[in-house]
Formats: sequence, C-alpha cells, structure tokens
Amino acid sequence: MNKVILVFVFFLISSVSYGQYKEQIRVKHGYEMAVDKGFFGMNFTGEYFPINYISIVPSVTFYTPATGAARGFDLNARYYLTEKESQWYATLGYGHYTRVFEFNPIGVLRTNSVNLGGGGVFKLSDEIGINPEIRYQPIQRNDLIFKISILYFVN
Amino acid sequence: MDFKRINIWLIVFLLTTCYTVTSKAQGQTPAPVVVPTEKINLPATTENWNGLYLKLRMSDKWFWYQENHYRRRNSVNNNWDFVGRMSQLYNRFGFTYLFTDNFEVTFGPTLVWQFSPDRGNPEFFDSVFDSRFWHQWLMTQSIGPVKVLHQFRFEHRFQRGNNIGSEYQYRDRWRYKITGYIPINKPRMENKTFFIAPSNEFFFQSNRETWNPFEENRVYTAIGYTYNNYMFFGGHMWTYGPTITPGTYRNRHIIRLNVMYTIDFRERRVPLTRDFAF
Repeated sequence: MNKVILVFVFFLISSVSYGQYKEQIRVKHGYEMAVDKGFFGMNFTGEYFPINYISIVPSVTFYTPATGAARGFDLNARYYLTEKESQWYATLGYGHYTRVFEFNPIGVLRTNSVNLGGGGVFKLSDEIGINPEIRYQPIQRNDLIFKISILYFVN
Repeated sequence: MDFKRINIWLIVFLLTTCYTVTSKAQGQTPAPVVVPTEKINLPATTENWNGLYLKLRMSDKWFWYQENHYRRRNSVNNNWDFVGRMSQLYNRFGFTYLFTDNFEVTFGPTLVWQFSPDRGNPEFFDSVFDSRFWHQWLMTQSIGPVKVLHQFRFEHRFQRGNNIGSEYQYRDRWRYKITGYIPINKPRMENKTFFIAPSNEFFFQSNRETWNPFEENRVYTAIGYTYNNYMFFGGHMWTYGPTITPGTYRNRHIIRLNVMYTIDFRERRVPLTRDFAF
C-alpha cells in the first residue's frame, strides 16, 4: 500500500512541471454530466491567461436530452492555487443555459446563473493533460455539473 | 509497424467487418416488406456542402482534427436549386495519432444539427441534435506522382427524425473511401500545386431495420490548389443508394466547396522553468 502511495505522490510531483504564465493558452475538449437533469454533454473550452495565475475560460456545451435540445455557454475566471505538484484552481463566472422543449408549451427556457466551482489540471505529457472540474450553478439553473476534459497546452 | 503488416491487418479487419455486417443483417427479423417488381429510381435531388477542415499538430504524434460543414439542400418544389433549404450543421472532431508517416488513426465525436425538412411546420422539431462517436484508419501510399489515400471510417450514431416525438435510435455505419491526389503542375503533391482528386466511397449500415445493409455510394471529383498552410478544393459529388422503401433508390448531386488549414503548434510552447514561488 505504501508503495502505491509513493508511486502516486511521485506521479503528482513529476508530472507537473509547468505553471500558469501570462499569455499562456490552453484548449480543451470535455464531457459533462448535469446532476439534476442527468443530461450528458459535449464541451469545448478555451483558456487564456491575461496575467500569471488567473485565466479567462469561455466554453460551450451541447447536451443530449432524449427530447428537444439543450446547450450551455459559460464564461469563467480561474485562479490557480498551486502550480507544481498539481494545478488546482477555483473558478467563478457566468453560465447561460438554454433548454428547447419538444412537448412543453414553454417552448424555450433560458437561464442565467453563477458558476462556482473548482478543479485540477494534471499533465500526461508536455503537451497533453486532463482536467476534471466540478461546478455549481445556483440561481436560475440550480444544478451541479461534473466535467472531465482532455487538455492541450498550446504554448 | 510496416506497411505490409498493416495490409494484412486491413484484410483481416475487412473480412471481419463484412461478416459482422452480413450476419447482423441476416440475424434481424424484418417486418414483411413488399418488393416492387422493378427497381424505382427517385428523381435526383441537389445539395451544397461547404466545409472547413482543420488539422492542428499538437505533438510529434498527436493531431487535433476538425471539420465544420454548412450544408444546404434543394427546395421542396425545385430539385435543382441546391441551396433552397437548410440541411445540416455538421461538425466532426477528433484526435489523430500518427503511427507511421503512412498510417494514422483518428477518433472523436461528431455533432450534427439536422434541420427540419419544412421549417416552421409545427409537426417538426426545428433542429435535432445527432451525436456520434467515430474512428478511422487512414493509410497513404504513393504511386508515382499520385498520392493515394485509403480511409476506413466507422460511425456509431444516435439518430432521430425531425418529427415531433421521434425517438433516438442507435446505428452503425461502415465506410471505405479511396482517393487519388493527382498533381497537375508539379511532379508531386507539394506547395502551390494544382491537383485533381477523384474518390469513391462505400457506405454500409447495421443496427438498423433495413432491407439493404448497403447504404450509399459516393463518387466525388474535386479540383484544388495548395497554398502554404491552405488547401482549397471542391467539386461535384454524386451519391446513389437505397431508401427505406424496398426496391427504391435515391441519388443526389452535391456541389462541395472546401478549405483545409493545417498548422503546427510544436514550436509554440514555452517550457517554463522558473519558479513562481507561490
């Protein structure tokens, strides 16, 4: 068991050697699951660092409900708490969600929410990493969303 | 992995695939169908597909592949106007792994918005979202000045119709395309080359209650020009295949206009060696 923990710690230490620096760009492709509605979604995300440690993260998600359609747009800021062993971050931002109903006479429902959450970036190689994230959207949408992405370090 | 080895695996895979498609089709219990006494060819229809292709090199072995298509089709009352109705927003994404210079594998999602055949009609949902997982093997070979591409593509699709209440169904699609890139003004395909690119693609389908596992054949002849990171190409494609009605076939004439952009990101990364001392 101790060996397993040592290997895991070694992985964490050795796999993250890059931090978050100004003008860095990352792009991501991910998959989301919203807890309340249970919708599965495909996500595309960009990330840009205007200054060290803090990034702007726009993303779009296309969900796959059994009927109708659903999509989300998010614009978040991330603040990275760590940079060496693992790149953990907290995120805050805005989330716009659109649900197009097929049978409900409401027709189209649009919600505006706050994004609150956090996640981590783990490097698999110099260019590629994975990025799990969890965020809560209080106010109108009121849902909890899990996301895992594969990440590419552009520069 | 050398090319001969790939060929052997290719043959094994093809035989396996053909067996699977055939046995699945035979294993189904289709509803009674009435086959017409003679083959019926529906009048040709027309479409216009406009595509942006991106190929971004992320590392020595990995690429990001992307296609975004804006597709229109003919009006209800005019089969020959090509662009009368919105048809599809077709988006294919994938990660490509380069095994050798002549063999690469790509996999990823496809996101398709299929628009209503009669927009504004409340009997149809305006745009339904079809999602797919796809993967492909792409082999290239050179025959003299001609670059030949063998593309084996497999699509696992969740599809529905635009009719209100239509349910999603899972279907598989199996495709093989052979393309020849023939340079016109250069001895081989390189920068600033005019070329002609004829191709033929077979489509088979399974996991679908159908009278014919053969889905479609596409004959596409493109002309194009390469310029630095861009390739401009377009042409005419003719498709022919069965409809869901036994003995009845459709065919389409499609004008395709495409741009491909390739970029190499490998030199853009800045290794960070300093310590921010958080």
